[in-house]
Amino acid sequence: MPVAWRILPAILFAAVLSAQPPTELLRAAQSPYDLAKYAKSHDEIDGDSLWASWKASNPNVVPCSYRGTDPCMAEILTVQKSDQAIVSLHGDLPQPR
Amino acid sequence: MYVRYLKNADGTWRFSGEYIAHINETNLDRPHKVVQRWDKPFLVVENDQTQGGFALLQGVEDWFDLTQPDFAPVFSNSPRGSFEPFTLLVGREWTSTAVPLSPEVIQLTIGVRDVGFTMNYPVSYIGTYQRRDGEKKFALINSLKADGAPVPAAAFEALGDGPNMTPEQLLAQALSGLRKLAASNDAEGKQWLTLVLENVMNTPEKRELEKLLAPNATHP
Repeated sequence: MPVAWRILPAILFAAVLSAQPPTELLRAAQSPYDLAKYAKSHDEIDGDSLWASWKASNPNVVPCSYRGTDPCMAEILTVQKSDQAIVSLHGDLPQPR
Repeated sequence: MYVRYLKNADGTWRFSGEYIAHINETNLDRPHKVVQRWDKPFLVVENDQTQGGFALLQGVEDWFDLTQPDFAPVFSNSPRGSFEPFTLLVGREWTSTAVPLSPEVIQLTIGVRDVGFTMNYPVSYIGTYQRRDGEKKFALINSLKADGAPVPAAAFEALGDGPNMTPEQLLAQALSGLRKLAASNDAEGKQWLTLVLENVMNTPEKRELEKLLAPNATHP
């Protein structure tokens, strides 16, 4: 059997894997604290997967998309006497002059 | 981007909405704050809506009522900005401060300087916004100059919106300062005003200022 035929299943398997939404991101998107941690520790955030996990549609926006080589700035805003949390995610920001 | 989560009874979280903000160097040090008074927390996010091509510097604050189930602005204002038109028109600088007076009432104080050449006259305005039972958004119910003179609601809401105002509207809103300039001994300022009036359609304000600028005008 030619070598190409032998490695074809591996190529197909890799392609299927790469088409799957990153499960780590899907899990992280379910909690403000996990999302903030994920954003700080990953170079990229897959916007499509994120929006899909929230069942929201805002495909034109990729969180922290313009950060260059800087880490995503993620901050949790908590609200007193309230069961809620807000995550602020900001990408590459020009430095103040 | 801001993502809001609400906590479920079992301790897990659920996504409750998102908001896309435009953060830039002009508002990097103050993109957001939580204003908590009484039992009404508000998230206040400042957007940068500066448009270089229009000589406009503008911040816009969006207020979110965090007791509401949805995550949408309930009140907006422009805390700072300036509009310096390239052509001979009246420009404007402004700052504003919004303060909740009660859970359902916000007072907005706007300081405006209509500017042009040597003219620089500050005017302060006060607006009261209220949200009635069952309403989500605050609406303007009263607007005044600091001296107590009433200001039409549309004019008040346009104070921080210089680039979308016509030259005639800018002239009308700056009229009190322009009157002082026209009646002053500031020869260069009056020359500037004469040129500005050439770019404005024939309105009562224009006619009044032209009379004041006339060489034989008598000033009160």
